Amino acid sequence: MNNNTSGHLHPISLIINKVVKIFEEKMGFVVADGPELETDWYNFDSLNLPPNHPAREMQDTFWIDKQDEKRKNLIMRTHTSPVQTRTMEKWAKANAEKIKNGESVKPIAIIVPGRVYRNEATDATHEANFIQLECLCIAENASVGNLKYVIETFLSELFERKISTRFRSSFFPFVEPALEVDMTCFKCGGEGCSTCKRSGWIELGGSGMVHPNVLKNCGIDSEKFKGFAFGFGIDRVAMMLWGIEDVRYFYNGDMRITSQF
Amino acid sequence: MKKYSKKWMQTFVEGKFPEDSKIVEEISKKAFEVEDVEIIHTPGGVYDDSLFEIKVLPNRVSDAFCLRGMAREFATVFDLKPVGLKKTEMFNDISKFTLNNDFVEIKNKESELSTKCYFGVSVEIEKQVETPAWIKDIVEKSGGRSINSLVDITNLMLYSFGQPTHVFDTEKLSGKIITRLANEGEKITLLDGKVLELNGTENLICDEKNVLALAGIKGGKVAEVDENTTKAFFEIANFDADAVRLASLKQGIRTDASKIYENSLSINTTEETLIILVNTVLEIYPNAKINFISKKYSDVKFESYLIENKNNKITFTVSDVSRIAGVEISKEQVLKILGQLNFDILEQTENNLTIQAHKERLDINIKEDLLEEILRVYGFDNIPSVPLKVENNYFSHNKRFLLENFLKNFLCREGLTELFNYTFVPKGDLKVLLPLAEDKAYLRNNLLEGGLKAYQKNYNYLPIMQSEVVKFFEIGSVFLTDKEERRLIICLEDGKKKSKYLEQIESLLTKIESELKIGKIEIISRNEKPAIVEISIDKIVKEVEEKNLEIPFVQVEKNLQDIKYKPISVYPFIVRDIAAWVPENFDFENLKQEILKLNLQNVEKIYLFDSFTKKDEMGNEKTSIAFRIIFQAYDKTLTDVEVEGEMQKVNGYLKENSFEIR
Repeated sequence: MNNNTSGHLHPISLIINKVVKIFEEKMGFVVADGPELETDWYNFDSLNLPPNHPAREMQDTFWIDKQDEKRKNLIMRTHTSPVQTRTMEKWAKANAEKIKNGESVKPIAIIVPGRVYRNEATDATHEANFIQLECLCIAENASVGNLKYVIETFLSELFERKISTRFRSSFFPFVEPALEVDMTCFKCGGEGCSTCKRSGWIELGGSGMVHPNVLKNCGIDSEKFKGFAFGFGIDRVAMMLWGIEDVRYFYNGDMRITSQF
Repeated sequence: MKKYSKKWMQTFVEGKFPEDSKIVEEISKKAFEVEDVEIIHTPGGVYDDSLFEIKVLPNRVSDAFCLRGMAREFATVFDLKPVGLKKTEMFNDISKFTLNNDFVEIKNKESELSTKCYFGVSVEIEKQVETPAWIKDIVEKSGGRSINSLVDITNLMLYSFGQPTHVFDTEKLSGKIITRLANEGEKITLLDGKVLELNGTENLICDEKNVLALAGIKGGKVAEVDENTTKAFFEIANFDADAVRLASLKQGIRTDASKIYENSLSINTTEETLIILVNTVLEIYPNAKINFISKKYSDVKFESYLIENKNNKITFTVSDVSRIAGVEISKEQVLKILGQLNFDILEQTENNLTIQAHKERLDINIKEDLLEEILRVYGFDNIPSVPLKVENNYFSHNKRFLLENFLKNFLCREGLTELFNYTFVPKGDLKVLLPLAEDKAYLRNNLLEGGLKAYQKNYNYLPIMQSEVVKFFEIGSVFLTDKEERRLIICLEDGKKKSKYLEQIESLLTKIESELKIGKIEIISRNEKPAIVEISIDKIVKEVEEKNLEIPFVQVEKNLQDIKYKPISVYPFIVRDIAAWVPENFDFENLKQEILKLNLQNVEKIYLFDSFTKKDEMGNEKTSIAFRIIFQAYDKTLTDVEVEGEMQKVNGYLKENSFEIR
C-alpha cells in the first residue's frame, strides 16, 4: 500500500466545497442542513404547496410507511427547501423579542447542499436521489436585484469566467415572483457549443422571492422582511462540467469514476 | 403544451404582432416557454399562419389556455390593445330567451361541491350545414378535428375562449339533466367507445335514465350528436378543480377540458361563453329556435364566485415595486404596465394604488402576485444586479457540515477515495410505500452493507485502477426506526488472506481523535474481511469543539475545469501480465511507447507493477520486470481469442528486441 498518494473527493463534493467557499468569502453565506426524511408539513405545506397540490402525488414522492410522533406523514424530501423553513422558523423564534421591540436583527444568509429524492424511473439523466444546492437570504430589503447578483457572482467564480444570467417568468408555489434561471454557457461563453446545444444558454434552476405565505408559515412578517431563494441540481452541473454521461455513476459506489477527480 | 394560431390570435388584438422570432424571444422571457413554431402554408404554397407551441404554466391555465387569453398575453408583452367581443358574438341579449332552470338538477351535496355551475342551451335547427371554414380552421389549428357543425361550435368555445362545453342530442335524452355522484361499479361508455367502471367518487352528468358524461372530463356515447342531429342541448358548465383532478387521475383520462378545470376556471368565463355560444349558434343558424336557457348555480359553491371577484382587488404602493426589484421604478412606468396588463385602476392616491386584475386572472390574489406581473412586464432583464455581501449573518456554518468536510479532506489526504451509495436498499427499518423496485423498498439503516457491495465491485476493478488496495469512505444518512443519523464508513482491503487492515483503520480513527481533540470514537460496526468500520458522525458533532474544525478546503484549490474525465467502459476487461528479463539500459516508458506503436486494438492500460535485479552465475546484473496490459472495448465484450491475437504482436516485439520472456 502506497501511503503517499492522495485519495479523491467525490466530484459532487468538489463542487460543493468550491461553491461553499465562494458563497462564504464573496457574499457571507454559511451552510445549513436538515433531515432527508421529512414531514409532509416541512416539505410541502410550509412551502405553500396545499394538500391537493399535484406534486404531492405518489408518483413524484417517496412516502414512507410511518408517521412521526406528531402523526405527520413522513416522506423523503423532494427538495432542500424544507431546510429553508426550518431555518426561518428557528430565526423567527430567536429574534421574536427584538423584532417586537423594533430593534434591528441580523439577516439569514444560508446555502443548503443535500440529497433529495424523486420517485421516478431512473435512466442516464434521471436518478431517484440526487444532490441539490439551495440558497436563501432573508433581510429587510432583499430584492430581485440581489438575487441576480448572488447567482451571477457564484456562477462566475465557479466557472472562472464572466457568466450572465437570464430570468424567465415561471411558477413555483413557494416563490413570488418565480423565475427560471438560465446562464450563459460556461464552455463557450454564449457563442453556442455542444454543451449548450448551440443555444449559448444553459438552464440552471428555479429561483424567486420567498412567497409571503412561506414567510408567514415561519412566523415572519412579510411586510417587514423580504427574501430570495434559488436552487439547482449539482449532478447536472457536474455532468456538464466534465462530460459525465450517466448520472447513476455518482451513486453506484464506482471508484473508477470518483478516483478520476 | 398547446398550439396557438397567430392568425386567429391576431383577431383579438388591435395592432400587429411582431415577427415570429421576436414573439418566441419575448414571450419565453416574460410569460411562457415557447417550444416550437410551425409555419403553415396554403395548398398554393403561400404563407398562411404560424402556430406557436406554448407551455402554459399551471397558474395561468385559467386565462391563457385559449386563443383569446394568449392573445391578451401577447398584447401585454408587446404593448398592444386587446379588442372586445365581436358584434356577432354578443348581438343577442340572451335574457330575452326563456329561462328554464328546472331542466337541470344538481342532485346531492357531493355534486354541489363538484359542480360550480351548470348552464345549458336547448336549440332546434332545421338541418345541419357544413361548418364554416373559419371555425374549421381554428379547430384544426388548435389541435382538434372538425366533426359536425354542432360539435365544432363546442370546440370553438374551448379553443377560442378556454371554456369546455359539450353538446347532447336532445332526442336521445330521457328527461332532464341531473348532475350527481357516481355509484360504485356503475359504468359509462365514452365517446371513443371506451367503457369505464366508476368507483363512486366521480361527478357525473346524467339524464333520468342514463349516464351522459364524466363531468368536466369526457362525454359519453348515449346522447352523442351526429350530422343528422337537429335538436341539441349545449352544456356550458364549471366544475370544481379538485373533483375533476381526482377523477381524471383515478380514471387515467386527461383532456383539454380536465386540464382547464383542474387548474380552476373563472365563473366569469362560463357566464360569458354562454352568451357567445348562443350568438355563435345564431350566427351559423339564423333561423335556429332557442327553446330555453338553463342557468343553475351550486348553492354550496356560489360563494366561490363572489370570492373570485373580490380577491383580484389589490392595494399596493409604487415603492413596493421598487423595493422588491431592488431598483427604482417610477409611478409612470407602473401605471403604463398596469395598462398593458389590462388591470383596472380603481383608486389612486399619491402613493397608493388599488387595482382590479382582469377577471379571468384567478392567479392574482395577493400583492406579490401583482408585483410579479409588473416586474415581468417591466422585464427581469432590465433589473440590474445589486451587490450584496452579508456582513452580520445571524447564522454560522453548520457544525456537522464542518466536521464532514474535515473528515473528507482528512481521509482524502490519507489516500482514501470518496464514494456514494444508494439510499434505497432491499431491507431496512423504514419501508417505502411505492418503491421503484422490490430491491429498493427500504431506506438503508447502515452504510456497512452498501460498503461491502462497493468493496466487491471495486476489488474487481483494482487492475484497471492500477491499484492493489481498495481504499474508500462514504459519508451518508441512515434511517433508523427512531431517528435519522449521519454515518461514516471506512474501507481498506487488498483481499489477501493474511492482511489485517482493521488495525490500519483503527489507527486512522486514533489520528482523527487526536486532531479533533475528542475521546475514543465508538465503532458502530466493524467487518474483518474486507476491513470496513462504521461510525456515527452525529456523535462526534456533539463532542467536538467548533474551534477544532477549521475548514481545510484542501481540494478546493484544484481548478475544477482542469480535471479531465475519461468515460468508463461498461464491458469487462481482460488482464495479461508479462514477466521478462530485460536488455541493458532498459526504460519502461520507452517500452510502453514501442508497444503502443504496434497498433494494438482495445488496449486500455499498460503499466509496470514489479521489477527486481539480481546477479547471474557469471556475476552480471540482470533485471526482470513484470508489466500488465489491460484490454477493454467500449462497445462489446472482448474474447480471449481477440486478445491472444494482440498478445502475439507484443510477444513478437519482445523477442525481436532481446527480451527474454519468463
